[in-house]
Amino acid sequence: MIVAVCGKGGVGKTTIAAIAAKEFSQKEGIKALIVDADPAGGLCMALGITPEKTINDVREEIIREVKAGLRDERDLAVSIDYLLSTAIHEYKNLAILSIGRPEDEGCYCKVNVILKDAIEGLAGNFDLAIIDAEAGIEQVNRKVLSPIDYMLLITDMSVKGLRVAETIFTVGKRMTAMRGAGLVFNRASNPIDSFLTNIQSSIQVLGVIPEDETVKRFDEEGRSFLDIPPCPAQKVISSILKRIGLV
Amino acid sequence: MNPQDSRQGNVRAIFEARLVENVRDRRVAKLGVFDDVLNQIFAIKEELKRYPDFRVSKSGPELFWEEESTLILEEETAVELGDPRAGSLMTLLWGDPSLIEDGTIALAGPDLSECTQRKIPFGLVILAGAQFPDEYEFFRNLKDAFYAVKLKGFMARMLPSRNTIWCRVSKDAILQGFTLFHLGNAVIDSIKKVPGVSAAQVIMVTSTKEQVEKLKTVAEGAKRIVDAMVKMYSELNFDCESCDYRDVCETVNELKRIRDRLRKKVGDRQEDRR
Ligand SMILES: Nc1ncnc2c1ncn2[C@@H]1O[C@H](COP(=O)(O)OP(=O)(O)OP(=O)(O)O)[C@@H](O)[C@H]1O
Ligand SMILES: [Mg+2]
Repeated sequence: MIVAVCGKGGVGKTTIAAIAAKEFSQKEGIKALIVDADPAGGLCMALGITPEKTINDVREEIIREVKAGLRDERDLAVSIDYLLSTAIHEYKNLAILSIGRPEDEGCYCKVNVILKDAIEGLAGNFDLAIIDAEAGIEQVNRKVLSPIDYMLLITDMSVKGLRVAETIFTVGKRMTAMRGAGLVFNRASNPIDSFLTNIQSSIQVLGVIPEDETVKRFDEEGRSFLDIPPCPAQKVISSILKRIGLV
Repeated sequence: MNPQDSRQGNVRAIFEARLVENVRDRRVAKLGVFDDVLNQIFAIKEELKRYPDFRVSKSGPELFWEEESTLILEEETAVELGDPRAGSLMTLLWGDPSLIEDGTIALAGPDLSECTQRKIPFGLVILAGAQFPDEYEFFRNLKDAFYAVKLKGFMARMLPSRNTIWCRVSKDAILQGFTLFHLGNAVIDSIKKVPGVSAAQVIMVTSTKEQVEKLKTVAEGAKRIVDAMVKMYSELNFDCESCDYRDVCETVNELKRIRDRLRKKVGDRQEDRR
C-alpha cells in the first residue's frame, strides 16, 4: 500500500510522515519505504538523515550512462535498479529515499519513465510506502503521485487548509490510482477546537492531532523524530495508521 | 601495396602468431571474439587453483535453490558481496563449447558461511559455450538469462557499464544452507536455457580485492569487444576511420568477420532497394 501525505504548506505533513515512519520502525516483520518527495528534503531532516544521494542524482547518473553509450533497455533497467539502491538510506526496517530536485520536463523522458517504473517496482517490494508530498497540488497534477493507493490529507485548523485539502482530494481522484482518502486535522488547541464544530467535509475524518509540546520541542531542537517518545500527537497518529490498516 | 593493405598484413601476422600460441596452449579450438580473453581468464584460474581455499563443484539438482525475488535490507543481511569499495566484478563471456568446462562451479575464497567480514569482494565470471548464427541476439539472450536469476534470500544489483555486481545474502538464507555454489548452479541452469548454449561454467572469487581486480582488468578488455560489437549492430556505420573501437576490431579478428558480414547485409539491402 502506497500512501501519500498531502496538504497545504506548513500544516504538518512532514511531522506526521516522520512520526508515522517512527511507528513503522517499531513494527517487526514489515518493511517500509519512506519517500521524501519535498525537494527541500524536510522529511529526511525530520528523521535526522542527510541523504548522500537523491533520486535526482540517480537520474543524472543514468543520463551520464546513456550519454556514455548505454542503450540496451535491459541494461538500462538493471543499471537503474543498481543506482537506485545506492540512493537508499536504511534505518532498521525502513528504506528512506529522497526525491531531490524535480525532473526537467521534456528531455530524457524515457529515463524518467523507466526511473518511475523502477521506483514503483521498488515500492512493490515493501509492505508499505509513505510519501511526504510537496505542499499543494503540483505533484498531484504532474502525476508524480499517480501510483498511490491512499491519500492522507492534512489540514490545520483553518478554512484555507481544509479547502486546499479538498481541492487536492478532487484532483487526486482524477490523477492518481487512489482507492481511499482520509482527512486529518492537526494542531488542534485543547480541549476541542471550536473550529471543528462548524466544519463540513466530503472527506472521511480520521482524527484530530493536538498541538503537542514534545513535537514542538523536537522540532525546535532539531532532533530526529525517530527518537520521539510516546506523546499525544504520536498516539493519535498511531491510531490513524491502525485505522487505515497501515500498522 | 597501399598503407591499408600493409596494416592489414601486419595485423594478420600478429594474429597468426597468436593463433600459433593458442594452438600450443591447446585450449582454443575455434575462433571466437573472446578467445584471448578466455585464455587470460583460464590463466588466472590456474593461479587461483594454487590457493588452499579454491574449490570446484559440479552443477546438479542437489544445488537447486528456490526462486524468489527478494528485497533484503541491511538489518537482514549476513553478507554483502561486491560492494564497490570491497571490489566487484561481473562478466559474461562465450566461446566455442570445447573451451568450456561444462557444469563446473569454481570458488576461490571463503563461501558465505565462512566469511569473517560482512562486506567481501566478489568476482563472478560466467562462461557460456555456444554456437549461434547471430552474436548480438545471442548476447542479449545471454544477458536476459543472467538477469532473470532470482533466488530466495539473495539480492543482486548490477551495473553493466562498470562490470559491477553488488549482492546481499540474508541471514535466513545462510541458516537454510544457501551457498555460492547454489548461485553458480542457478546461473548455469539459467544460461543453459539460452538457444545455442551447450556448456556453461562459473568462476567466483571472494578472496581478495586484488584478485577480483585482476579479473576486472581482463573483463574490461572483453567489454570493449562487446561495445564494439553492439555498436556495429546498432549503428550499422562502418566508417572505421572515425570509430572509437578501431583498435579492438583490428586485434580481434572475429569482430572483423562480424563487421564484414553486417556490411554485406547492409549492402545487399541497399541493392534490393535499388
Ligand atoms: N501537532 C503539532 N504540534 C506542534 N507543532 C506542530 C504539530 N504539527 C506540526 N507542527 C509544527 O508545525 C511546523 C510545520 O510542520 P511541518 O514542517 O511538518 O509542515 P509541512 O506541512 O510539512 O510543511 P511544508 O509544506 O513546508 O513542507 C513545524 O514547525 C512543526 O514542528
Ligand atoms: Mg514538509
